[in-house]
Amino acid sequence: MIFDSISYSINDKHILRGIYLKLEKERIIGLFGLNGSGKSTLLKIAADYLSPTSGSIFIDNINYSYKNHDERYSFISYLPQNTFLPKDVKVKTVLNWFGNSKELIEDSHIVDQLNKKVFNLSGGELKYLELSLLLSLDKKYILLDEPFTGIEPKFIDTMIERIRERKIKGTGILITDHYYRYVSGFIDDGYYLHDGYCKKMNLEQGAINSLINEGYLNSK
Amino acid sequence: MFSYLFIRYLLISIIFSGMIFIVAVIDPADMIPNNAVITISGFGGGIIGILAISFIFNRGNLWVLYSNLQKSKFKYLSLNYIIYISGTILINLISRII
Repeated sequence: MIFDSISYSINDKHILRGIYLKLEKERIIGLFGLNGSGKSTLLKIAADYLSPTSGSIFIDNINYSYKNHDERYSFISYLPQNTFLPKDVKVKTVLNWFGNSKELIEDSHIVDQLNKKVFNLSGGELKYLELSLLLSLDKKYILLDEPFTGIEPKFIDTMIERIRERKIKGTGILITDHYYRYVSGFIDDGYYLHDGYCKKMNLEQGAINSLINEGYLNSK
Repeated sequence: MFSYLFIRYLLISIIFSGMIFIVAVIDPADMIPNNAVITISGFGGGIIGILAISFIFNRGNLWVLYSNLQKSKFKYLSLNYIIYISGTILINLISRII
């Protein structure tokens, strides 16, 4: 999946300027940046919820910028920042929609919630459920916008394990999250968004050091 | 999934509008003066309006849900418009009958 020269502007304000990014299968890319740097905007463009001012999205060498929305989703799945599940349905109904995959029905944390309505889940439980649902789908590319928000640490570890499993199965994953300590531990490549530009991070010097150098973290 | 959500929303709309209809229009005990009927019908319309809004807020981001499951965008749009249009028609019908 290639983000080719993606630019996005609102009212003459340049959010993204000619972004080039390549998401390969069996790779995990971490996208970092300060609040408002355009991380979510870039994911929304990839997920076809925003149209770029210029630039194209290529999937397997085919330009999907002008293709049908549904066609693009035969390759990708997308976790937005905000919840996407209807609130007044039961968890078991939602699992049914997603095909009751083995990893879902064997997850004791989800099984415990089967008869609860989505509305009654806490923010962390809901995020855990949504992330689990998306990772159960067999797609070539997964776009995750702040997937760990609200999830307790031991379950973040479970999710990281599932993300790694998905990678081994051949999926390319693009993830953005402010939980940099978790994310930097399992990514293959890191990119830093600043002032509309996307810069590849030097992970050899350590992701944390690289984030300090970029001004994302304080040096102390 | 489409029919599940649609039937669920539609049934709740019908139940509530039916209750309002019975109280405000049939008025079995003949206790409500005409102006009160108008007031109640307005109140009923308000409830339906609030319900329609609450459905819209309760639905989550159906577009993302439908996209991830590769369900047709047509169905997503249909669901939204059917909820909106059926709510509008019900409010109109009640106000015209009364």
